Amino acid sequence: MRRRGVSSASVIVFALAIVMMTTVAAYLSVSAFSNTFTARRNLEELYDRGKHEVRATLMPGIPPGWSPKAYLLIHEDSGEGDTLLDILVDRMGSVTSARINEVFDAGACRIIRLERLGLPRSINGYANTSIVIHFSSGAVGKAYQRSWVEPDEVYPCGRDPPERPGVYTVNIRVLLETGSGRQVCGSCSSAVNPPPGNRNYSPYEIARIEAEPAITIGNTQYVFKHWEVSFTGYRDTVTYGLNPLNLLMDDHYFVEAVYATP
Amino acid sequence: MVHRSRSGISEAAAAAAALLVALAVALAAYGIYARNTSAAVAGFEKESGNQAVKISERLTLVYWASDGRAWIANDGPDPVTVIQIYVDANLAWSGNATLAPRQMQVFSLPSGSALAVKTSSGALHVLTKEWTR
Repeated sequence: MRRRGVSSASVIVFALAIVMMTTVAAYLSVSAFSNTFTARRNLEELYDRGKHEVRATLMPGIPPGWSPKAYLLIHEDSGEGDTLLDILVDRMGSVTSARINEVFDAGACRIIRLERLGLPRSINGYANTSIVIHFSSGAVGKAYQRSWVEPDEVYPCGRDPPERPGVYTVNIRVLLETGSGRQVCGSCSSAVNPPPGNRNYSPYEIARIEAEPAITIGNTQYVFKHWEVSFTGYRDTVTYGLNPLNLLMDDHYFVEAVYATP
Repeated sequence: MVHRSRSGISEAAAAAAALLVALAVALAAYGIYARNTSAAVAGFEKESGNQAVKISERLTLVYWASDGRAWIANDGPDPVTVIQIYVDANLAWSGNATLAPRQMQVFSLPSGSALAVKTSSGALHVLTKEWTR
């Protein structure tokens, strides 16, 4: 019986198929490895940048104390540790940059007195202002002003020392606001506590100043309107509606309790 | 008894010839494959090297003011030489500005929405406004 042999064409086709499949498989594996490697490196870089998260808060005073002085609260949230390199302040097109070089341990936070960097000391100086912080990891954050920060958020944070040692003085007085203007009240010693006059405090001590909600002078009743606080010798006033006012003694201050007719 | 095809060639001879042809094709394919593989590996190594350069070059757009001035920092471990800066895909600056590690430099550029920096290594860094994230 004649056995049917394998045709030469089928052998050639089979051999070609094997060669082509091997070539394609090798090409695909090399290309996949190359792409995976490149993608992994890029992702690692992105991840490395992304994991460095920083948070910056512009605040007046250091909670629980209030003051007209501007502070920048910076949190390093990544838990990696980083170095704060720069702070840039853009005041309506006038950009100031300050080199800081301050190491932040993992999860650390720090309160920076902006005046120390040659920037405006009053919180009023930061209206329409952008503040950007830059860390060595490439992390960049914009500071947002918050009128109140929970004390728990600042309690563990390191803070700049006061501008100078010694005592800080607060000068308190009472102003009566009428339709014809303002006048200093000389007989309002019981309107505020501590009474009008000068008081000395230690640096970073909190002066608790309380105003009577309403007072009667002559036959006219006045109600407490707000506090006006300014650096002694300057008329750059910051207004607070809080009563009592917990004033952070980080400078010499002039405090006026403003009363007005209802 | 020897089986012969109609052309008169024995099937064994035909199979041997087919195998020789297949072997020749396989050798040729292997040659092409080896050449391509070595080219692919070389390209891959070059690309890896480029990636390594790109990764060691770490530029950060710290701030881009409304008047166009851009503060660019070198946050990598090696000096980086900026040769071109593109704003919204248009060449906006060219020169040679070498930034040491941790150095920040101001570049006067037009304002725009996208910024790309080309360095002397050939890397092109697309920088985003990180502070707006």
